[in-house]
Amino acid sequence: MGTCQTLSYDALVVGGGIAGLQAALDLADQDYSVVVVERDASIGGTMIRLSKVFPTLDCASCITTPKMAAAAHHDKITLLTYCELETMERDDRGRVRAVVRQKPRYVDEDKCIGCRQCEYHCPVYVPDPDQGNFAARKAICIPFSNAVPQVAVMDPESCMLCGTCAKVCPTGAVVYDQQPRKIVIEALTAVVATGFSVTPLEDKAQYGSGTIPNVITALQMERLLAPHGPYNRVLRPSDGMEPDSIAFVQCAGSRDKSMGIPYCSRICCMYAIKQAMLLSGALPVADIFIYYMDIRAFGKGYEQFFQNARAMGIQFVKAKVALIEPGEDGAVTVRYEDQLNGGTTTASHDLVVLSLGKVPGWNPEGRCALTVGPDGFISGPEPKLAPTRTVEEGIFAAGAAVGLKDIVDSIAEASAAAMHAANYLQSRKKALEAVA
Amino acid sequence: MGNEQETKKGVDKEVMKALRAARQETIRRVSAQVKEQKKIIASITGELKKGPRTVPEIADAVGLLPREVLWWIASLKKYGVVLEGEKQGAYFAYRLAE
Repeated sequence: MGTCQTLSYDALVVGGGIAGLQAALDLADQDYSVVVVERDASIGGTMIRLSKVFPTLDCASCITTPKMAAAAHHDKITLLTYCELETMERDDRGRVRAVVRQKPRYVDEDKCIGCRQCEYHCPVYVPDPDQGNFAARKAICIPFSNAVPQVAVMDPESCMLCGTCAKVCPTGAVVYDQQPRKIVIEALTAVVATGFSVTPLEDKAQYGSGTIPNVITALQMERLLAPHGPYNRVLRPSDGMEPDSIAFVQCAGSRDKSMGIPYCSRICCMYAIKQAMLLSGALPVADIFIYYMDIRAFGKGYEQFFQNARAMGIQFVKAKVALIEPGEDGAVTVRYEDQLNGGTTTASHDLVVLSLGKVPGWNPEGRCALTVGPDGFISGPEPKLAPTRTVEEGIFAAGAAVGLKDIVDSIAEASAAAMHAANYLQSRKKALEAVA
Repeated sequence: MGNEQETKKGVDKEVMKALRAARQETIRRVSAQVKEQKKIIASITGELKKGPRTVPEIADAVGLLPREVLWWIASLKKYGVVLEGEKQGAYFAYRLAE
């Protein structure tokens, strides 16, 4: 481990997704100094990887990138990317003390100018998880086109030390022997916004355990629909055919005790409807089906969005899908129990999208004293009246880390957490001044 | 300045030597992978030199699974080697960039 550095700020924000960025911007705009610790090589979280957002159908990239840039350029915000939060505790003076491990990028962040010469010349192609693994990136690359910061990252497990990247780098930024760095952060308050992650396709044996090429996750479909997606259009991953029949399978891993996820993810109904609408625009003659248990259109304008989708001809089938199997010529066979007409029915589709379970993105156990509920999401003493409060005084939580929610609610909650954190900062600063 | 650069290059050589010794296994594995990848790229671009082809056509010609061919087409398109061409039935044809 490299040198240990201690940095002091008014506020620490854990997680650089949309909730973390909103909290950081709200605090920084009140002139508090903020550090954002992000696990990934870029800020932006799940939202920057989406195509469009419901129910407004705004381009996700177009509305997330300005927030990312605002955070990156804010005088009062420091971004620490590619960093894991190892521990976070309150010291005897009530300050938050966090230990962060900055993973090596094998690239000097200060020297890299994001020109991508290393990426263009690297000879090693590796699957790109930011494109749903549908295309390659290189062993050294800028994570994605609108990543912030625009700094390359090398994967040492896919590097053969050929030296090409160092040779072509115009600023000498490649550091093959870079070491992880330990950073200690001291702050008066913290906001935890660590988001959610999606359960893997492999977890669902009845749906092919990830072995059927044309059964994909909803986040993979986001990439197929995104303007900078892997194919720049929607194609079937097994052979590049433009699909004629696409099905969405809802609750494919949530509301299911056998999967250990008995709760509803809240967002799947709406993103499936959104994706179905985008697909009907991209593939006007395709048949689109949504197999659902109930449609939960709970937010402002959501019911109308659902009704619009029906009017557009998207077929909603009230059914529980029991089995998904590979069919002939890349087709996918879906066997389901029809809950309106009764009986078991089989249908064939070119592409099937699963709304898999969503779980917390980070577990505080062993890292800090925050508590979680039975579902693993961060819990607090007043879930009804002060949902952003945690059991630790001065540490607040927001977004999907507290419980699954959509972008609108995540942003609103992040602003609420920032307000609580600002109030707390004000009282702490007054107390410290009184002591001085 | 010249001296400094020379020293830096000398250090880099030593660093690379030590790293290559420590990561022998990874280097061997990735080098074999790159060799294989170069062969695949050559076979796909070789096929496209004959004219625009769809993914199943390329797969048939080069003996790879269509999904592997699509992965390579998407990747080569990203790095400017391949371009999307006309649609032929339900499939798009791809061609080499100039």
